[in-house]
Amino acid sequence: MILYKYPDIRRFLQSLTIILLTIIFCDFVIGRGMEYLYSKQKSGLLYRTTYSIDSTTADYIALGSSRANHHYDPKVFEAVLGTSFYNCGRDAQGVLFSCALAAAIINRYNPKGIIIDILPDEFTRSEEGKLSSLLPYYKNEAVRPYLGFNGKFQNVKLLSHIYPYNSLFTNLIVGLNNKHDEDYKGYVELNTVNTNDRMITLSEPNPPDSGKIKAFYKLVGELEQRHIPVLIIISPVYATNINSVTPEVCLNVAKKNKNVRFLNFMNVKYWQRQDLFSADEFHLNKAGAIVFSEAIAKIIAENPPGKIE
Amino acid sequence: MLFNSFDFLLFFPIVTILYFLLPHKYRWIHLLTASCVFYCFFIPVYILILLITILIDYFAGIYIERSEGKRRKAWLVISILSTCLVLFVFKYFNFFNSNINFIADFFHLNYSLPILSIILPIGLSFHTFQSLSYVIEVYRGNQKVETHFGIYSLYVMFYPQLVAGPIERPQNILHQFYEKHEFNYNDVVTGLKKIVWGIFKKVVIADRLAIYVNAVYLNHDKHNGTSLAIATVFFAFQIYCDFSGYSDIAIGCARTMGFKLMTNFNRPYFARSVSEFWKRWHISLSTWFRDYVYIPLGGNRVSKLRNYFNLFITFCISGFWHGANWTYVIWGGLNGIYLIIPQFFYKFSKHAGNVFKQNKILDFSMKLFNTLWTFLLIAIAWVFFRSPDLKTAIAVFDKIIYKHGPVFIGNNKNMIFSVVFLLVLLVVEFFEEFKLLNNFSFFNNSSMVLRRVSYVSLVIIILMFGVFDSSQFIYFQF
Repeated sequence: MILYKYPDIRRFLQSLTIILLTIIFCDFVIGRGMEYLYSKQKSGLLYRTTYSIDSTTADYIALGSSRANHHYDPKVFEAVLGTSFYNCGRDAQGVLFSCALAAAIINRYNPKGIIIDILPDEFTRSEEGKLSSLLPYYKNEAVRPYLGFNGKFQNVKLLSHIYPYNSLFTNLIVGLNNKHDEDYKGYVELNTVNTNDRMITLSEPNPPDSGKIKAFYKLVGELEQRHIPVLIIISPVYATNINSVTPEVCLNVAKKNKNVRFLNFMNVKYWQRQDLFSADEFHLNKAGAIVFSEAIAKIIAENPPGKIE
Repeated sequence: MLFNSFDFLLFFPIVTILYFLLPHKYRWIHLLTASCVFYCFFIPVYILILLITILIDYFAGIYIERSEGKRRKAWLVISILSTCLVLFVFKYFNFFNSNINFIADFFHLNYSLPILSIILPIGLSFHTFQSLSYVIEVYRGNQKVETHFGIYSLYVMFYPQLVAGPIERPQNILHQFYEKHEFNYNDVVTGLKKIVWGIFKKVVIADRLAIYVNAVYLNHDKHNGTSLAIATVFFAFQIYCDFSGYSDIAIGCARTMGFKLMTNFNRPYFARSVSEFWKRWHISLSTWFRDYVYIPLGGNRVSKLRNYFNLFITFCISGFWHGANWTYVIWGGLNGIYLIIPQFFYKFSKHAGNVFKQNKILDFSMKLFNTLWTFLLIAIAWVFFRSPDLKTAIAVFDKIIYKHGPVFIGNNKNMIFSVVFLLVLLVVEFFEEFKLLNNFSFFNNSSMVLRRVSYVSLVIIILMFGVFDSSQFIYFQF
């Protein structure tokens, strides 16, 4: 062998091989262990997402970021609509997360209606690196196409068994406890009151994210084909908005699909009562969520599935 | 290209393997091409700016070598001014413009030059200083002129240290490009260990701490002084792990190919005085300012008052080098003041030191106090460095001093990971600093099994707890 002429290279390759094999072995064992723990979640953030993707059969579902999670109270929807409701919103997520969840859910059943809560600057913000919450579901055929938005080389990175569960160690431990019930059907209430009475101004300085817009159009198109009514909502925000890209995209989607309706609550004074409704600039508190959920539920009740214009 | 990106994970082994496979005479071409590719991952067209700097100082070096007397000095001045002009246009024009605008407004004068909407080329200040170091050394006669344009370009562009240093001196690195580096087991292993440790510091510690620091500093008006104080301490470690992590990766990458770059950090938070801190922090920049600004100004071989001025002005310029913002100037100036004040108490502190040395407990307490005091001073200065403007910095200080309250935790998970891995870092550095347990080290242990277990563990920790959002290194913006 030529390597015998180069003892340093031979020695290095030997060490490297041993270390790499050990890393691969540890990665496999620890990764599988974390996968097992993930499947045994009984409460918490991870459980809620898994439940949304794999188990929920609610008639109505709400999708979106933390704003969706804290704004749509299932108790109110269930009382007004007399039907089941599940809140699939998750902190620090955006519309691509919503699309992935919706795609996975409609693979199982057709809900009576879907609410998609959109961030005020949704279509001008990148979700690169923020879709890691979907990595544990990489085996789900409906979710997999959206993983590409998390960054380059996702397929290669997913060769590691630990990678999908990166930074989830403490969540996995906490989620094993079934008494950790901070939510009601996915909804987590906020009990704080915004003490800042100065309104900030929101703008969209970045260019539109065409990939994100395309994915959203595609998902809404699929829902339209299945005749699932969709309510796209930009929920209240305690700020002055000068955004135009995101509302325009939502409006265009609503115009193109007859089962889709768009409600924009930005700059609506009634909802900008800081001392009453808002927990902070971007989130409604419990009182605000109840009133807001009631308003949305009534809109849905007055325009039942199939009649939404 | 970012060191903490997947692109680099592919780039590095390919470049290193090709380097050893190629005959020595072609290696410089290979490294130069790789460096261009590395740089072009940011904004490709900006490589032309780099080319301008290289051309200016390459020819300036030749003309300086050929000339004598005033002409020699003239070439040096031309070279420095032209190189700095590039830096001025891209980094400082808008700063000066807006300040002049402010003054003109104040005096109701008519002045309106448009703000340049250009992005600062990544690492511009670093390669500008490396380039300047070459012409100054040629002028001083410490370095022979480099006539090989390719090798000179490689000196400025060598990819491991292209965008954030260490800022090398030509005497240390230029000759290494001519040397034939055979594959050396110790170099490769030492380099790889440095790289893995650097990645750990960056993605496990710095980027994790950044989550809390950003959450607090970006919403400083919503947080109390206690949270801001914690965020400031976290920032001190974030910037250390971010920058020293980068330096470790840079030094490690070069080392695998047999190149020895200078040490840039030496456990700075164990320093017992600010003066010692600056001998341990960003050593390549500190020594650059010492050799090319402080000493030419007269250093300490002048009157006391002049020496204080030299120190102060050197640190103000150093601050300004970091960024075109008054916050950086004040950060630098504050560090200068930290160095000046102890000189008034030199005799007293020397006497106190001698007295304390006679008692082991007192001596230990004094050393511990000095270390903590130095850290506190440095952390205070970091407030200016982290704040986007002076108004914010003042608001942060106001809250830290007067407005205390419950600590903002944010995400429990982030807080736990931040504290745990910060402690890991401190314990490791503590052992290294004080050479405890017979100089115990996991990475350099005599037991092969323990060494290998430590490598594997570190990689697994990076995979499990690293923050993989490919965030930039803080110093790239300079």
